Amino acid sequence: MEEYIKTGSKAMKNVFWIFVIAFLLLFIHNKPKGFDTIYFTLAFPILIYIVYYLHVRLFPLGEIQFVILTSFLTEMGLIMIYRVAPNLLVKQIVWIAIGLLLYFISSYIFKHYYLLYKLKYGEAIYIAITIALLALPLIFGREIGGAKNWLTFDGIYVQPAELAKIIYIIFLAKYLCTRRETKDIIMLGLITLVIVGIFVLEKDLGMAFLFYATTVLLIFVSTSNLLYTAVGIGLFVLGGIISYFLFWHVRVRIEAWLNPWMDVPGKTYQIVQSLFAIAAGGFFGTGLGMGHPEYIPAVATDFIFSAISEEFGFLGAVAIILVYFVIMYRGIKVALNAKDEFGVLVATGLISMFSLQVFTIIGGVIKFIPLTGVTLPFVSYGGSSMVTSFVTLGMLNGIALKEEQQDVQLKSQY
Amino acid sequence: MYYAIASQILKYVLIFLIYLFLYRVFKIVYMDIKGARYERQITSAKLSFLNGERTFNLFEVTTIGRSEECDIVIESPYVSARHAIIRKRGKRFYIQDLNSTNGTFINGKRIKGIAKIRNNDVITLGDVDLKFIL
Repeated sequence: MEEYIKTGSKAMKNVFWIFVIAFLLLFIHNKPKGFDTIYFTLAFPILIYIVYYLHVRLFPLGEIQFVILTSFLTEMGLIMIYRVAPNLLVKQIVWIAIGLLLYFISSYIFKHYYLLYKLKYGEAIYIAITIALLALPLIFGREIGGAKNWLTFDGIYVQPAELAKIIYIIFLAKYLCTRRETKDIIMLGLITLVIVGIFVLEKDLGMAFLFYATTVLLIFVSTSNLLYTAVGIGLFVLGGIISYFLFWHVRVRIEAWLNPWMDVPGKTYQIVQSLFAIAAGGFFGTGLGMGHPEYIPAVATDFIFSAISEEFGFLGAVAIILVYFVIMYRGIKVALNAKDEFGVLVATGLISMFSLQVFTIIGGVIKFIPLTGVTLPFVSYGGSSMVTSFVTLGMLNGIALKEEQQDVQLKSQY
Repeated sequence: MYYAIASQILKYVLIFLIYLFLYRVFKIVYMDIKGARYERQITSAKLSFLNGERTFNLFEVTTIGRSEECDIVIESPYVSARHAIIRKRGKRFYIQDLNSTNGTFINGKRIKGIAKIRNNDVITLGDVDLKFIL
């Protein structure tokens, strides 16, 4: 255990030095406007160190890797956000602080996750909250960047779908724990179709894909029935083909994916700029401040991976992907070790949703799959996404703590 | 001008630091996997039936019960599915009762939770007597 924590501390030191070097360079390249930026930048390494030591103290058997890996990812995000949009830096650091606080709170609350299972009429309550959250932006929402999935409160923009993800997974786990007959799966399919329908109306294709794919995965995990899974994938392909002919914005995305060079100044501008940026990076990148990531549209949110590819190169981009792999590995390990079925399903759902989101956006910006606008967790600028990602990992940590409580008792007695 | 040179040099430093970080992350993953394997290592300690019928080797962590999943399977109606667990910490062995129906006894005394076991102790699970030999 001692060596474990020592290695972790060394990793945190690396994170600290990457932060110092990158921000020294960036502050020369682009002089900070006002003392706020400097103070908040200095606060970030202090914050992650406090969080690291609190985590070691409070959860000696918790998933310490989550803290190490997220501090690396948020740091890479901060470096790139300061590079492309300096005025967003302070807000992002505030969101990270809120996210870390919620990580601890959800870790503590989720140790008692069986209470969520025991709640009477739980399924009905969870699905009602999910659909209400998803439908809200249709009525009161604002359209930003082509998708009508935002709510505004006094200038704060919130994406309710991000919160709905977590509640929907709790619903799925509760539902699939008890009901596995064919008629129940068909019922679940209908519910999923309603949700996907809402997303299609909001023109948010990325989220529609995430919710659908997670549902199919969880049905497979809980029933191990290949027929349901095959039907799910078949319906997905069928739905994709139908919506290609039915909806203009789906057709644009798929055509841009098949041939990005057909309309470079117009429809395929985003993806082409992203590909140029990745190509310009080469193996070691252009060096911080030497590339031109500002040409890419939406570079602080959806396309931040292209900016990292440009300035940190292929090697930096691969490092980011490897870090996501380790998070996925830890998440699956939590699911494998969970004590009861509800815990297994919740953990699997959370980590599938998280990993699928990473796959969707990284695959999108490198033109591996058609581009859909979701955020890169922990790296992209955005409050809702940051908070949800931290709560997701906090819940996984809580499930891991529940399963190891027996060991804690063992230690305290001698 | 100077900035361009500094940026060119420091980009290699940054990549090096990033990969040093990754090396440490994977080292932690490796230690984790090794830790899981460590539980399956065989120790010198043994458990044998008092009548000398069979002898079992103990692992670093050994589970005892009626269920097939346990490391030591005892087929007796008085033994619970997962009855007890024996762990090695340092040079000592500790037994923990897993809330079994008929209890775990050491030299005739019923234990609550965790207890240390010594050489030649007699462990009683339900109606089965086992001798612990270090």
